[in-house]
Amino acid sequence: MNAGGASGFARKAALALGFLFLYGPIAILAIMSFNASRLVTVWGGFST
Amino acid sequence: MTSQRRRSRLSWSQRIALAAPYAWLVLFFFVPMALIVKISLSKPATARPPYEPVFDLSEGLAATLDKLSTLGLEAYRGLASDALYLDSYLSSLAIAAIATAVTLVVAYPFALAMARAPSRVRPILIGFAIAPFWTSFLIRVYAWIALLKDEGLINHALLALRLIEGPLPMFATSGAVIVGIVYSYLPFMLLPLYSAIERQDATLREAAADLGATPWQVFSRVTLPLSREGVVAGSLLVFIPAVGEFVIPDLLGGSDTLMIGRTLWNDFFANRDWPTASAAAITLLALLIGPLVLYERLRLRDAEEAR
Repeated sequence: MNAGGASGFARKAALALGFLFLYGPIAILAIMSFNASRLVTVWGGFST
Repeated sequence: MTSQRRRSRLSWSQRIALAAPYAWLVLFFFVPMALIVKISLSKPATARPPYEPVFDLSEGLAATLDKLSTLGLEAYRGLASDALYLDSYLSSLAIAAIATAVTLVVAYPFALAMARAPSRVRPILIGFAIAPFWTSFLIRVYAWIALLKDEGLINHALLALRLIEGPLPMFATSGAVIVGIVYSYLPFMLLPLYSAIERQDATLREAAADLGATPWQVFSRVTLPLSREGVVAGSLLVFIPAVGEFVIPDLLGGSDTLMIGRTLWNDFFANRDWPTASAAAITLLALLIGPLVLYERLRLRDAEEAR
């Protein structure tokens, strides 16, 4: 049908927002696991 | 008549296959449930376990009957007279209702977009939507602590952008609990919605559009009404477990976030008042029987229609 145009954009935006909501917190947790700072949420350089 | 004839035609292997799940239910649901009812009728005692034994057949029949006569609804009367429980129930129902509504609003466009994606990519999208729920539930709730705390990432970002002057108090509030529930229960809403939207006949939408409906009218008068069953099923699947939720309010809620799961936990483990806690659990079950029956009826009707 009308897969292109406005509805196609809205569909992609809805998918992007949905997956951002689902994966954002997990990604942040994964990134923060490399944080060298002693504070959980303050970036202090990489640690391994 | 016909059902009777059908029942008599069950073979032995069929009967055993039917009996197995019922035996499982009786053993692991009804027996524990009966124990909870039993404890709720007893009185707290300084003992191990911390309630007066309900009956002890070794003491003889007369003593047993004597014991049984001391059972009563005191724990339930205690529930009714203590405002803490009423407040806990009301705030649990309110938090669960708001969280269910937010989950629906978040999940609907997401499910719609997945159902309207090319059929080739739909299974992949569904897989990616479910995949986060294979990671630990606790880890996912902890991630929200890192995001919502006063010195958390959202406050850091907003402070860095100079949009706010001090950190927003987001962590340890009812709002944080609602966000946690929405995030944790999203797939329970997503999947029924997706299947309800996906099985709709595309020609109905085309016909509506051909007859002059705007895209919004097609949505509000065709897609949305036809997905009603998905909306109801998803809402109940989120609402029912969310009312009794314990982990999310304990990790994300503040000390003033009352939820019945937490009140129960306190009674069981901190106050060691098992009868009151059991009575509260039974009352919660009674409260949720309405929505549970509604869900079962819808499911049965669905199954009949599919036949």
